Amino acid sequence: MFYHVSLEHEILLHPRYFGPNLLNIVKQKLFTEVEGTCTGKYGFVIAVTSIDNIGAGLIQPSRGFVVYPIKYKAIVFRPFKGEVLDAVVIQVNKVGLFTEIGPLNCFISRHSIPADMEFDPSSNPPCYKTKDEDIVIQEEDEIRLKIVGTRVDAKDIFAIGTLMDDYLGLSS
Amino acid sequence: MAAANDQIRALSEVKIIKWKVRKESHVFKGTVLALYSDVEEDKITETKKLKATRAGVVADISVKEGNVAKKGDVLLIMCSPDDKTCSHPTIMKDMCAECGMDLRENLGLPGDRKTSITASVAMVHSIPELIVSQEQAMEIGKEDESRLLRQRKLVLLVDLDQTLIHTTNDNIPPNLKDVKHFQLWHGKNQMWYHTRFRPFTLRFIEAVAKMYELHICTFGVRMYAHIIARLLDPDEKYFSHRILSRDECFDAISKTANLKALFPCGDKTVCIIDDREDVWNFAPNLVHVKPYRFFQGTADINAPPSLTKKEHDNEPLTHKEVDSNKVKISQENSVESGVAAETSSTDEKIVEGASTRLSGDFRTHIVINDSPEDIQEQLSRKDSRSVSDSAEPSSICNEAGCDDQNEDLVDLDKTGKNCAVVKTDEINLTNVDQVSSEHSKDSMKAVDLQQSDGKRKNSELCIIDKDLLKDSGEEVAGMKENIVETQKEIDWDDTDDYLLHLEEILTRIHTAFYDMYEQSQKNGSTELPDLKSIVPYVRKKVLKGAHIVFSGMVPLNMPIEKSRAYIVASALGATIQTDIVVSKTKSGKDPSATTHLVAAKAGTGKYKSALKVKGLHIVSGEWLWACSERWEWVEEGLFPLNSQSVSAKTEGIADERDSLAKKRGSKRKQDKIEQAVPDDKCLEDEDANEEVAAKKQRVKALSMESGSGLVGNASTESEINPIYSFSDEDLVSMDKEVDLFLEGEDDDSSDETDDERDKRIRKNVLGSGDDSDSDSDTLSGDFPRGWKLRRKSFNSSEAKDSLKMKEDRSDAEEDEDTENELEQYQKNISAFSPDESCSSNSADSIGSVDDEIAEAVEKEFLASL
Repeated sequence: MFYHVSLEHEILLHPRYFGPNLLNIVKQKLFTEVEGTCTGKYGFVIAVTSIDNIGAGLIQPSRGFVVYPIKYKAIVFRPFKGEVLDAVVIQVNKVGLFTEIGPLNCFISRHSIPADMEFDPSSNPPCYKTKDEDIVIQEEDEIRLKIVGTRVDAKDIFAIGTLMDDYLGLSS
Repeated sequence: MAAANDQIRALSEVKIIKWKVRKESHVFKGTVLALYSDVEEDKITETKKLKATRAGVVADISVKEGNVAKKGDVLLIMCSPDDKTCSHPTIMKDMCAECGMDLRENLGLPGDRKTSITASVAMVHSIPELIVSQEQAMEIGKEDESRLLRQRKLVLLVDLDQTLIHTTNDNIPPNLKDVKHFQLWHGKNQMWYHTRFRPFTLRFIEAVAKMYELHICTFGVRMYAHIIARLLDPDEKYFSHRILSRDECFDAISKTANLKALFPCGDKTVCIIDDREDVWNFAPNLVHVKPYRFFQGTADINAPPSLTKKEHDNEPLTHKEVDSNKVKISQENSVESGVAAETSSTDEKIVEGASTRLSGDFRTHIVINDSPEDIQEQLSRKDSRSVSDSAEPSSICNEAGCDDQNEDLVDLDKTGKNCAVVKTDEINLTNVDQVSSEHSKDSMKAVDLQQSDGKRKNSELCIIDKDLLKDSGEEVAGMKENIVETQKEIDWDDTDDYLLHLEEILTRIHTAFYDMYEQSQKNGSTELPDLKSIVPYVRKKVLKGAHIVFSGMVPLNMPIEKSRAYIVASALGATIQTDIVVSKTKSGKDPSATTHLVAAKAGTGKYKSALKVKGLHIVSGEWLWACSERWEWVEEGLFPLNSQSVSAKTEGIADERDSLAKKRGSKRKQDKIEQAVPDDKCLEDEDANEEVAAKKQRVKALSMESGSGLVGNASTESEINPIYSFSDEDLVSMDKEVDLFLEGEDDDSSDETDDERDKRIRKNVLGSGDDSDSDSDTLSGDFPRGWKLRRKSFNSSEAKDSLKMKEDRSDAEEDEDTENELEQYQKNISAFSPDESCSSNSADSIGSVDDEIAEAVEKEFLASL
């Protein structure tokens, strides 16, 4: 699920950037340091939408670096159990499917793939398909899945998905 | 408290159309269990969904699809999830992939699980976090196996390094043919890898993929393995994701541990090709491959640390250049060494300038033309520049884009792209030839040529006129220099045809397996034949019927059964006899009669008695090794053992002894000098530097003396060799001899041209054993570009600084060396010290001219920018 949340971040700036362009550099640095990262609490930071406040820089004693506390708003993506999402298949193997939902990796076990679909390793690329080849799921296909579990680490989130529900599977 | 088993009953008479779940699948509240329809008076109404009323696991399905269940019949039995009904058969990152349950301890590390789990088998090559239970693994393994049998395939585990490819980290000429270059992160810095496929690799893979399912099993790191796999198989049709790398290996020094996980049903259908038997614990289903070596001084870069093979690392390799470079340029303009150094330094500057400016413009051919006094020509030169400028973007867009200012990187980057285009090069060269023949005052023509060239995609010719007459008049009176920097590919002939034999071996194994399989199928047995017995069986057929007697092959103090020759011969199915058995019948059909005498040298007792026997093949040990490599009864005539070859061999040994003696002497001297050199390094003044140069010169002289072929292999010294065991007196006298020799040699050695040096260094690093006369090569200018670029830093700056820079450079060189062992150090020194001494020499003698040119070129480039 996507959220628009207010977040805080501290930027550590080297003294060499002190100059007329300082605030621009602080902003730039915020974008590069924050976008694309992942926190267990908020999920993946997709994009910074606005910078609300750049606090007063505090020079660190004996180092010369400056710390800027920044308040910003960002769009974050946090997956939840039970959520239905669209994913791109990145690897198909005999144990299941590996998919990507944007920055989130998600695995679907072969037992969570409808019983009528079977793994076919001999096709190139390998795929899961029904007997009549009506539905074929292979690499780079888009599928709709439901998340049944998430592994939330400090810096990454991993999800387990399933295709065993209504309207799940190949989306076309 | 929920009942352990929950029966879902039909509320009315229903027909189950389709089950949406299967036994043991995990369901949530609301999950669709089945599609059904009510059956009312034989009339089927619309499809309805049977949904789960609570979460649980399907324990049993009682009604089959398409059957009708009466009211009150049990449709399916569900158990509650609290009963640990999900056995978590598939686990990904400590999470059950079936029910989504988190099995990791709160705040635990990966692997710290709350409950013990049944899953333990990492079935997917490249994803060790994904584990499945033994039963699951067996199920999947069975499916795999039956699929393979259906397709009449077997499994082949393919090793990469030295089996299909050879990779090196050393600096190599960037324009070697068929060598792939790529970079990998190695800690903090990127490292260049240069990979050469074994001849016929692609053909081999294609042919073998029809009979085998190919898996990569390498000790290289994951990225390396995947990059090589993409190079070998860009469409992913042979290896797919079946790549097992060091990152997924359970054991650091053995690959066998992973077999059980990858093939839970046993490795009966698994065949292995590898150049090392030890990592597979000498498995019987391993086909030992003759190691492939292309780059000198590198064995298997990914060998497990404790098992690094050292024995062949320093063996010199001889590659002959395949003469694809038929156009020899500016041969008529004999180039004096000094001028050569000077001019080449200029053009290196230009290359540097060009490459930094064009960022990856890798095909800048440079002709140094002259006569700038003429203003007209200066103008035309500007024209030419603009033309070349306009031509450049076309090549830049070749995805080069590597803005790396590091010369080495740029240099290598250039090559990567060069591999494809030899032909245009040759066209270029002919043009260049014309230019050089008519260059004198005709730069307009050059411009024309260049325009035509500039139109050619990927090939431009940058012509820079330079007046050398001004300052170097006394050196080359009226002579104009044409130095053509060309981008030719060096095509080494590679006679390795082992993969053709290997393909045949694998075909034989495949056929044998399926013959056996069909036989056992006929007999009604379901037992699969085991490749672990079939591979030795096929091998045993190779020399079946041969009766071999060894002579001089086994050391006296060793029981014959333990000797390698015995093991190899018996593995090939030969019968080994201790003494020659002469056929008693006249017809010579005695089955126990000796057929082969494998002898190390002629003149032994067995050899003499074998001579008297008719029809007995007397072969050298090479014959046996060839047989075991190829799994073939090799023609005996190819490996004769005659007295002549033996005497030649002994002569060779004597020669070697001689040269080794020399080498040892020179090496000692060299060591001494090297000891002295670092002390001098700290001194900045010219005198000290000159001293260093002189010393290095001496070192070079020595190494020249001891035979150029040996220079690169100075490190072999460190190996234990009985020939080295000289007495002290011997060594002292040798040293004296060398010292005497040195005093006479000091002056002459400076005459060595740049090009000779280039060639020699290349030989040092790459082991090109081609020792032909230097002139033809040197003047053609077809030596690798990398070496010239390497030198550019020496010559580009002022002569005063150049020495200091060199010191830095050689230091840097050593720092780069990750191993930083003494051997490596010495290798480096012997490779680079002559270089330094020589360039310092040239810089000293013609430093002023050098400066002039450097300045002028710089100006030109600034102007053109």
